[in-house]
This record gives sequence, C-alpha cells and structure tokens, in this order.
Amino acid sequence: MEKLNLLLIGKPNCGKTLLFNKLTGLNQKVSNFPGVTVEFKQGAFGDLNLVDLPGIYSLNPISNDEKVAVSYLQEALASPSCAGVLCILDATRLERSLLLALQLRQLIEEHNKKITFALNMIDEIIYHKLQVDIDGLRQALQAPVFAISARKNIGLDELKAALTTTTTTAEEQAPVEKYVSRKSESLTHYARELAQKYGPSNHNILIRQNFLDDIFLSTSLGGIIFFILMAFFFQAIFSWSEPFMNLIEALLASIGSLAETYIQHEALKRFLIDAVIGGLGGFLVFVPQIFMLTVLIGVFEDTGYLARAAIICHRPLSFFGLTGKSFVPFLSGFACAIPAIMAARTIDSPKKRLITILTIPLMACSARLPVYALLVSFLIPRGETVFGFISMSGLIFFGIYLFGIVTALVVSTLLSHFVFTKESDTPFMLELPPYRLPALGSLLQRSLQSAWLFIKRAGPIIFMVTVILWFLASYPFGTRLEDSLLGSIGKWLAPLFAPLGVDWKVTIAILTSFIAREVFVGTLGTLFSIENAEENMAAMSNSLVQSNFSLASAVALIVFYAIAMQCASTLAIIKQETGSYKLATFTFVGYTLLAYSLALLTYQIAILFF
Amino acid sequence: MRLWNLKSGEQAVVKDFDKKLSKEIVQRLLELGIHQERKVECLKQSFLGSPKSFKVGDTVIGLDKEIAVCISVSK
Repeated sequence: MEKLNLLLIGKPNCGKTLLFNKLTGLNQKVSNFPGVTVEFKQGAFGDLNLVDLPGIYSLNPISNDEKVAVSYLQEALASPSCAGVLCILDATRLERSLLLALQLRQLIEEHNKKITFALNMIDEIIYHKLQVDIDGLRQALQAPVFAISARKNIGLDELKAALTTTTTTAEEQAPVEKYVSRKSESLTHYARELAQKYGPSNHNILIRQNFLDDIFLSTSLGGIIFFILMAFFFQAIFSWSEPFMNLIEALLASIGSLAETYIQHEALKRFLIDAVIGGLGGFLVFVPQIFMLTVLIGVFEDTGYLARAAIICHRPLSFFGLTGKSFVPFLSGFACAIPAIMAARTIDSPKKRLITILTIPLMACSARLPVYALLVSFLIPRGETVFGFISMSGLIFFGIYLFGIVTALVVSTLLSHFVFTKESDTPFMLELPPYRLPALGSLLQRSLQSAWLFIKRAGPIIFMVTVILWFLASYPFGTRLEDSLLGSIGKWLAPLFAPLGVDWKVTIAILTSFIAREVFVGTLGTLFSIENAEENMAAMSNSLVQSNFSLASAVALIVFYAIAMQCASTLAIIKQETGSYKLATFTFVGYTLLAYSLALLTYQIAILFF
Repeated sequence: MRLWNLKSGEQAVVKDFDKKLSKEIVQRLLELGIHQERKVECLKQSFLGSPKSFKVGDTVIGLDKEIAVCISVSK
C-alpha cells in the first residue's frame, strides 16, 4: 500500500529541515539562511512519507520558491494520499510563525485534514529563562502543539509518537475559533495578539543579535570583516585540506607499488596502475578540498552570517544589475552550480533571478578545483608561502576565484541592459535570522555526503573515460603512446587548441573535459601514467613540463576553465529553471566562445612575459 | 517622515504605505509585521547605501531604500 504523505511546512529558517533529518534519519541540507530548501525532499517516517517543502512566510507567495511550495501544498491537500500537515513554529519568533500557522489552520480545515504544530527552538527559550504557554497555544490553535528542539533532541519522542498515532484521525480535530477571519490583516493582528499572550518576551535574544549585528553590519567594520572572512574562506579550503590530500596521495602511491610488486599479468597491472590509479586516483586527491568547501559554506549558512553578507553585498551588487540575495547562490556556486541555480529561486525579482542564474556558472565550482590545483602546482611549487604563513597557492586560487567573480559581474552588467522580464521588479527585503552556533554533527555529515555525492557523480564518468582512453592509448598493444590510436586522433585534433600553446595530449584532456571539467585531470593522469610517470600531482606537473607545456599556456588554460561552460548538468538545470532551451544553448555557446577568445588573448600577452 | 529617515536607535510608528508599492509588497510587509500603528525601531544605519535593518515585534528585517522611503512614519 502506498504511504500517506505528511507535509512539513514552516517559515524560512525555523529549523524545518533539521527536524526532517531527525524524523527521517536522512541527512538533508539544513541552513540558517532564509529559503535554503529549494526543492522537495522526501523521507520515510514510520508508515508515513514526510515531504519537506520550501519555507514560506504565508500562503500569499511572492518569490518563485514560495509559489512552488504553496501550489504544491494546495494540490497535495486536495489529494486523498495526504495525511495532513506538520507545521513548525519558531519559538523565538512566534509572531511571524503564528501568522502562517493561522492561515494553514484555516486551509487544513477546508480539506478536513489533520494539523500538528511543533514549537521548535525551545532550547533557546529555556537558555534565556523565558516562558511559552503551550497549553494556551494549543487552545488557541485548536490542535496539538509540541515544544521541541530539533537541534538538542528535546521533545522529539513525544512528537514522533503523536504523529504516528494521530495524523490519520482528522475527525478528532476541533474546529478553529470563529473569530479568526479570512482577511490576512486580521490574521496578522491575531497572530500578534497570540504571540503577546502566550509567547516569550524575546528581548534577551534580540539583544544578543543586535550586539553581533553592531559588529558584522557596522558601517566601518562590516565591509572589512566581510573581506577578511572571504579571504579566510579561500585560504582555509587549501591549507586545511592539504594534509588529507597528502594522505590520499601516499595511499595511492602505496597501492600502486603493491600492484607493481604483486600483480604478474602485465596488461592487468598496467590497466590498474595507469587507468584506475592514474585516472580515478588522480581525481580522488581533490575530494578533501570539496569537503572543506562544503563545511565552510555550511558554517557561514548555519551561523546566520550569510543573511548579513547579503545585506552588505546588496548595494555593490545592485551596481551590476544583481541583488544582495544573489550572494548566497553565488557562494553556493563555488561548491556546485546545480543547487546554486536552484537557490536563485529565493530571489523575488524575476530579472535579477535570471541574471543570477546565467552568471552562476562563472563561479569557480568544485569540479574546477582539480583542474586549477594541477595548473597552479605547475605555476607555483606546493608549500611556498608569503610572509611565512600565507599559502602562495591559496593566494593564486583567491585570484582565480576573483577572476570568476569579476567576469560574472561584467557579464551581469551587460545582461542587465539586455534582459527584460514580464513581471515587475521586486525591491530588497529580508528577514535577518538570529545568530546560532552551527549544528556540527549535521554539518560534518552533510559535507561528507556532498563529497561522497561528488565522487559518485563524477567517479563513474571519469572511470569510463579513463578506461576508453587507456584502450585507445594502448592500441595497437606494445606501441608507444605517440604511435597509438589515441596519438593519431590527438594529433589530428591538436590544431584546435594549438593556438593556446598546448600539445595533442592536453588537447585530448580539454576535449574530454567537456563531459565534466574534472575529467581533465583524470585524462592527463592516465596519459602521463602510461608514459611511466607517477600518479601524484607533482609528477603530473613534471610531465607537463616535459611535454613543453609553458607557463603562458597554464595561465591561458586557467582563463579558459574559469569561463568555459563544460557541465551538461548545469545546462540541464538552466533549461529547467528558465524553461528555455534557447537560454541554455546561448549560455553554452556564449561562454565557450568567450572562454576561447580570452584564453587566446591571455596566451598572446603571457608569452611576452614568460 | 519616512522609515528610511530613521537613524540607528530611533523608534517610530508606521502611518501609511505609498501607492507606489505594489500589492504584493504591502502584503509581505504586513506579514513581516509592518502595519499601521506598529512601532518600528531602526537597528542599523545603512552602510554605503546598503539596506537598513529594522526591529518589528520579534523580527529583524533588512529593507532597502526603495521600499523604506515609501513607508511614512511618525515619531
């Protein structure tokens, strides 16, 4: 029998997704920036199927994610497969939560479904020695209300027991009080009245928030702190992940030597060392950086700093036709463009949302990391520092990321003059969430999950490409790489990228990376490994030197990879979010041509210096 | 006076919304607690023209000039 759906609804940043994780055992993305749940997540909860909807302020949607959520809610409630609604209230900001609760209470009654309320963040109420009248709320809402803390596991057992026993018995529910009118203004006043009557006086919580905002949004310090945090962000990705990268390299080298010693069958040995360790292993080295990137973005999100960053960035970004709300999708774009493009749904203005979507692919996503790491290691030896403590590679990476950002701003300025949307523009308004310590366990788990998803998504593609390349590069068997089938194909295609000063091997790597950017490193790993190079990055870098790869070509390729649109999944998501094949095609062709032209220009200038 | 004119720490009561503001925006402002006769406090001044933050009831909201100049308040 098909499971009944239980809809999880709440205003943005009420801890809805963390509760979803606790109830289903699945680890979903949980963040402290309004509107992070931009897609529906589902998970089994006992006999029910729990559906996590994007956060909504009310049943009168403005932004796209809200429209999607409200329309899904209305359709779901009309369906017999819906058991009811679990509505999360934020105990620290009760008034805002109660407005949605009252609207939902009316809607639910029309559909004769069950509603249960979970009053989340009760731990903060206890910590600040405040009071909430749960019984009063229960009476006012005429429905079960449970005080919980999803973060501290308070009241979850009672909530679980109640949900599994009461969600299917809607008849027991009493009708909502008559004086709750349908007019939203009356509901607003009633929500305020209820919050004042039964809710806490949250003066202490706001004092702490104001104290921190005095620092982070300070006229003099706010911008400086923002830049320091961003510089720290990029430095930390590289410095903190280096020991783990070294460990993986050492592990791969040991597996390689074991294979060299113990495997007798020559073809199998070469396949394992060249294709598997050289190709797939070369890419695995970069997974710690992807993990660290997700951890750091998660810390910014969970602490509530991202909403402040959106305020700080709003004015500067508006010069480029964007909004402060573009900052969060842009920052997520450093991890992966796909969720970042979906996160752009939280931007109310249709025009600014479209410009943000089209420029997110210019943010240096994690798939570019392996490519940049290889090219930067070619430019700068690993371990070199400035002033003895600032990593030189980190600085160069910061520069590369900055280049992506600047290109995105230039492109968005141009687009803002050419993009027109039917809907009128929406000005900036954003609720600032309270500052909170990140839920570290959940954060580490989801970062590990994201690193694992990265391996799962890219791993099979890289493996497939490297296996095909290995066969092409080894056929006819016993010949040199130069004389192999791949050698012939590569030399035939070499003129394509010869103007950037690269040979046929790098040309093959660039072309295969149109499947996915990270394939570039896997391809070079396989090709150089066939030529008996070791599988680590320094050896790959040395092999590049031996193939007459110049510093000018390295810089030109960095420019190429910073702009080129080499990700089929990103193009698919652009089509999905904009509903236009033309825009997706325009993005691919436009960015690829721009990338090639700028890389060529860079190479021509760079050869004058290197 | 306008909501945007409030300085850090100053309080005022909301009087009216300009007709310039769309129905959806007024609706959202109401949902965020900004309605007639409601006390509002400016928490943070604008940083180089960035949005200002205002405390309304139990909520802190960032509003840019475009909206805040369309809300009339009295001290």
